[in-house]
Amino acid sequence: MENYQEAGIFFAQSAALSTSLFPYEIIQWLLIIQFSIIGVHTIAALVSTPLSSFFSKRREQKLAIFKKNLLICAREKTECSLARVPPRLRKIPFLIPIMLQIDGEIKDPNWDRIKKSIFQNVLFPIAQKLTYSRKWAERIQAVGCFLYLSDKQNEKYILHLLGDSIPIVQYSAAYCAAKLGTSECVNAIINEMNRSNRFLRHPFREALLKGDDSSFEFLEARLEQDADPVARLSCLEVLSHHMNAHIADLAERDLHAPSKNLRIAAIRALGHYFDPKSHRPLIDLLKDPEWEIRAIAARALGYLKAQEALSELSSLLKDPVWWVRMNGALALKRLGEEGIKKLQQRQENQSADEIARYVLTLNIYE
Amino acid sequence: MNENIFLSIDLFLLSYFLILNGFYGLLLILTNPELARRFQEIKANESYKLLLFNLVPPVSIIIPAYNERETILASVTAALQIEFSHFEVIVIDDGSTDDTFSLLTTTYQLFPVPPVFPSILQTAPVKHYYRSKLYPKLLVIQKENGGREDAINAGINASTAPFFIGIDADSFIEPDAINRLMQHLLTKRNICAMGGTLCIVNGCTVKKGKITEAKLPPSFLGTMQVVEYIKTFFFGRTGWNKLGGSPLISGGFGLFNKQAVIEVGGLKKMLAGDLELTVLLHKHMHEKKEPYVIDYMFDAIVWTDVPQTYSGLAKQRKRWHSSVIDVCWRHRRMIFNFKYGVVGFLHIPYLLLGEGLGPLVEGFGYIYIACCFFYGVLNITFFWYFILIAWGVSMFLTIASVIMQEVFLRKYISSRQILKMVFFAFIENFTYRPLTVWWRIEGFFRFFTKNRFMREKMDRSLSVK
Repeated sequence: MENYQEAGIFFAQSAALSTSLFPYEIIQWLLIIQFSIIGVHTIAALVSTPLSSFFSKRREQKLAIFKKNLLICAREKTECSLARVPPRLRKIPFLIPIMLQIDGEIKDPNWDRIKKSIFQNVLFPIAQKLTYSRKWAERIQAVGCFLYLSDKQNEKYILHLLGDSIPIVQYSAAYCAAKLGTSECVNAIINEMNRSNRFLRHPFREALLKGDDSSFEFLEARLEQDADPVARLSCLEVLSHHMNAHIADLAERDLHAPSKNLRIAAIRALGHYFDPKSHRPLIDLLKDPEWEIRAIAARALGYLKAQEALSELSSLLKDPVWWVRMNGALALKRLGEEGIKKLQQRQENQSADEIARYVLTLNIYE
Repeated sequence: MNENIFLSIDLFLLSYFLILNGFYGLLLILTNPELARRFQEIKANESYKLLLFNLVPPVSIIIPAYNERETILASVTAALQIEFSHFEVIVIDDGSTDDTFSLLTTTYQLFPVPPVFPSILQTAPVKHYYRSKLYPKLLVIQKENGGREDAINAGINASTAPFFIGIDADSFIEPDAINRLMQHLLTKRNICAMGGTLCIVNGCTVKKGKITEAKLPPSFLGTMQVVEYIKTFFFGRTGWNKLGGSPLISGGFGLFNKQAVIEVGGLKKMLAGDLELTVLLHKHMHEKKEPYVIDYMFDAIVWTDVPQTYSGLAKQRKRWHSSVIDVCWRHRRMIFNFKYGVVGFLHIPYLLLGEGLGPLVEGFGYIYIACCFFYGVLNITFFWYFILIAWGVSMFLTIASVIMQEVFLRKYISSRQILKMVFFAFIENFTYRPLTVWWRIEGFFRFFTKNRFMREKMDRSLSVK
């Protein structure tokens, strides 16, 4: 240890550090700790794969036994007890996949009864507790459980989950709520939809469309009463896939609303409902100063196959905006023979010619 | 006098080492919450399946190709068979001089469609657009040569989805990679960009664009790079998610919000278009003062081809390093600027001091120690302690990353592969690392020469049909 004073303490000879006070012992301990950690990690790397495969195999075996018991109970019409499932496995991610598997295998009223009792006694209490969890992965389990079997008693929890901060929990909760189809649920979904931006509102619409049919009545009522343009927009977006004459009348009122998005939704809604009465107001919109309105009105007229719009639509081919030209040409093609003839004519404008040729190659029914 | 100079150099080297490795340790600690999050996502996997997956937004996969006849078909095949419902594949032939385009034409039965896509971003002129008779989701763009970034911009113009993924023409996307990204997209708001892991395909068995068996490459440099990639991608990038977003989304595999990319003007025509884009996105979002997320997902995988020869690897590393310096130089005003928050105080300084100047300090340290030894003033005992500590730290980081890949990726899991990787971690510091330091120093000085914007063609060692 004496030669430290001569040789310096660090890489080079330096005065301030050249004392024997430098903590070599600490460094030695650090080194020992470091290399023992490395050793432990190396061993962990080697054993983790066999260990994890062993445990997952054992878990799968236990779950398979449980599934077998359930199947026997369903066939022999006896009561089923969950006592055979260890408490560690009484969890939503383990049980629900098994239920789904059995659902695919047998169709039996007795099984439905057993399933319902398992949900009532085991899964719903867990899910209700997890609803207020701080971990989103647990809230998503809860909502997955509610989604699988919809029950009015869970409405409170579903409405709570609908205001969640994680998008996927919200969407799943919207699915559950739409399945219940009560007035409160529908209004809550619409309120959430109002708060979201363009991409994020799409799942709410899908949820309402795939949900219970009674929700459309509540939507219609809300469209009639609510004056808020955003709420009207949300309602119209959903109802455009479920039109009737009354909704068409309501939508026609919004064709000249101040909000552009609401106008677009109204045009779309009219485009989904075959009624010759609505052709005239749509044709008037083809000369609107806003290009989005022109494009979408043209598209709606194409869907409606409004033959009287032929000349107006063909004049759209000269529009300065590409999307308007494209939609005009597509609408002409949808009109049928007359429109296709118009497209095949030689266009004087080069861009019009280009778009007409392109649209003729497209298969619009794909 | 001399003593003071030596002392200050000593202290500088030691403090640089401590700060950088302390930061790496911090990153490793911050990786843990991300891993826990991933565990939760895996647990909730069944619940994701309960949802109909068609409510996720569609995605465009953009593949720029320039003279890639060996790999283009396998790469496009892999992209066309991903497990995701709403996607389109856009292949851009960037004026190839070999038969890349004719291969595509004959394989996918392409037919021309008129040029009707609006040109939002400026690119080199596009010659033709083609669609395939076999796959309606495939669009091929033939354009004049303008570089990789220019080709991606042309792809952005033609894409119809709100998000796009850029992958290289020599990469194979894993079938469930997009699902993984989408799970993340559904659990966070304001996603601006997301990155994924690049794994090395050399040595693996590829059948019809699918990796059937993951193996370590036979060559020394190849295996070294596998270990290096696992280390960089696992502990080096995942921890950044908690520190305000990843500083680099690799151009080899990254998902971007199209709107945000268009707002910053697309990819810039320079060497490191991906690094520049990531920094620009950070900058733009801070200027807009909007919340944003630039995250890195460690278990979405793309398999890529890496150089296997000494000269090829040297070229690649020189290019990377000079482009890092280039980007830091362009954004020098962001350094320690309050306007850019954590990005100005952490990301860019890290890129400059940790990545950019790191090899210079390290190279200087090697020379300094050699000089000290030569003049007999080296404290041998301390030197050995220091070497052991440095060696141990880097080995620990590598082995921790190997465990993470074993748990989450499950690609290299046989005990033979793991032992091999641990052995390579053992010898990395004495063999591979000095080499990369040397290349990166060369790259640093190449930044000051005129040919820094040269992009060399990589030597293909891989040929997949």
